[in-house]
Amino acid sequence: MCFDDWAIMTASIQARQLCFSFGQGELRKQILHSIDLDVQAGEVVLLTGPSGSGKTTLLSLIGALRSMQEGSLVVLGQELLGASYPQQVAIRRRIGFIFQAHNLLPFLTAQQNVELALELQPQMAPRQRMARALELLHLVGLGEKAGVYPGQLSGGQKQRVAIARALVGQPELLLADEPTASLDSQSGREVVALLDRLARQQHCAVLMVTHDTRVEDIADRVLHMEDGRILPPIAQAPTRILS
Amino acid sequence: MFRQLLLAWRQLTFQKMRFVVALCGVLFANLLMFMQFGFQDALFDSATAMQRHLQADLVLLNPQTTSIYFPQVFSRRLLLRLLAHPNVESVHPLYLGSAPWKNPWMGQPRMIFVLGIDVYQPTLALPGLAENLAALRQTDAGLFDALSRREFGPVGEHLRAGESVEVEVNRRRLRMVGEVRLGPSFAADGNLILGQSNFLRLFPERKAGSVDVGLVRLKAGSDPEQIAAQVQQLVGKELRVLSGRQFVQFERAYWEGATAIGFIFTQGVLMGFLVGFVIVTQILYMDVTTHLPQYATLKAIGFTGGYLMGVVLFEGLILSTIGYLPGIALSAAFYQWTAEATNLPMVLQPGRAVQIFALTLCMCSLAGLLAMRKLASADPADVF
Repeated sequence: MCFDDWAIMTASIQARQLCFSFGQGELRKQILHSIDLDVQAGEVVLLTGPSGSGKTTLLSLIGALRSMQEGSLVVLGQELLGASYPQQVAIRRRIGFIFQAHNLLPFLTAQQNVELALELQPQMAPRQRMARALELLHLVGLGEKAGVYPGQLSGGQKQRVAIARALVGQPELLLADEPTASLDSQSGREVVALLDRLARQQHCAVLMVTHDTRVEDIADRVLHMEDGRILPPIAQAPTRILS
Repeated sequence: MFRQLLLAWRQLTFQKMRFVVALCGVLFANLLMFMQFGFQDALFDSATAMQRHLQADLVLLNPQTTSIYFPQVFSRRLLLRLLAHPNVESVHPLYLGSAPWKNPWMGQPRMIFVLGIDVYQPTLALPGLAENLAALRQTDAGLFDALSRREFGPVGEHLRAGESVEVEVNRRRLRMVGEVRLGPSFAADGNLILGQSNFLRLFPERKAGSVDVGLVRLKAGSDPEQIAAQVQQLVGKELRVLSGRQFVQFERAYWEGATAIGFIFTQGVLMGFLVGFVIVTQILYMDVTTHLPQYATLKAIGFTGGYLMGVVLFEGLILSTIGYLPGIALSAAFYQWTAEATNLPMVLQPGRAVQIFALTLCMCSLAGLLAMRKLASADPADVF
């Protein structure tokens, strides 16, 4: 578990010479070139870069949403090169995901949406699930909105429900893809600060893709990607303001 | 399992209007299937109603007779020859014909099915026959089938009011002396029971020596099927020998196989099935399509494709089960309505109810399977 000392020292993500291409034959286009990446447990890392630089593809590979092609990628101790579908699904269950679009189920209330993620932990009793989901909604400041359907929530509120859903299962790694893209600067800032705070409380590593330079200050490290490569760090890690 | 069912339920009922439309689709499909099966059963039941009321152990027919509504006659001597068999107790000829019945109130002629029976041993267990048997022996007396179509006139009302009802049938004046209950079929709109001598007077061209159906009663303890086989050898190719049960099957087989009716109603059931299938598929497919990003998200956070397919399948099962209940209720009402309007035996048989529920489940599951194919295109890698 993330609370163990040894886990803090263990790498959450370790990529070596990772390459990835789309298409076949003549149309084959390499997206990622020899990526080396290490994210330690409990570390908050931002990934920036122009669109088309391969950030999202890298994120989907780390999340076991795509099959690996070349190189090595170890996520939470599991080698993903050649991983079977059940192995991929098992890894996904240990990761929290936050997407650009919140993708909450419109026919479930905020609480039911968060609860749904807990169904993947069958050992949990229904009553426990409900309590845990409510607890998470309180943590993201939406305790009052537990019984409300996503259609009646604002963009920022929906994204906060999505954060609660991502964190409710106590993941060891959180992957976020531009979680602030559809939000105004005020609520974007709030959402990221919340994400950062909760992840640190749970000692959960975070890898966040973002274009939003306004949130760079909360990260331990900022990585810059261009043309499928991670550029060597130009500047040293920014000092943390929030904690 | 339960969680998937709950998720399916919440998804289906979130948009009330769409849920109601889907249920109406299932209900409509059910109604169509129930009515088609109901008509078909009513047809077979009504066509074999008389046969089922016969109290004969063996039935003899001209081999060219395909249905008792279109009989070919055979010689009474052949029938009487059977008395030589040690197991035969008695033989009774049955004469059948159709004659124009002139509605005494409207003056409109209409064909009525006429049965000429043995007035001393009728071998026909119709409600109302035994108590009127003595009256039936009078000259030009007849018993009217109270379940005949209305076009034959309100005979029963006048009889029960104590009035005498005289009707012109085949240009002969007959007096109705009572009522029996037999019921119309697709081949006969109404029935008239006469004694043999009155029957022969009504149809002057018919001869007593040419019978349409031969009824044989066996001595107690005889096995009808076994004796039927023996008698068949005695009469050779001149007669078809059937047991009472076989006679019912024989008539049913005619309507099922030799007419387009079985085919038409089966096609009707298929239509109902297809209509329901299309509506439910449409609803489920739309559900999956509009929620594709959400389904992909669920896959991304670790739900398996199988779990989500289960949800879609449960949606189908919920629709079929909940749609079936008003479906069978409405069908029961329609059955009653049809029975009252046509006097056809529209009976909601438990076997049919189970069969149609199975068809409904099948219909909704197939629709679910089609929608699931769409589900496979929810790619979690596209969510980022």
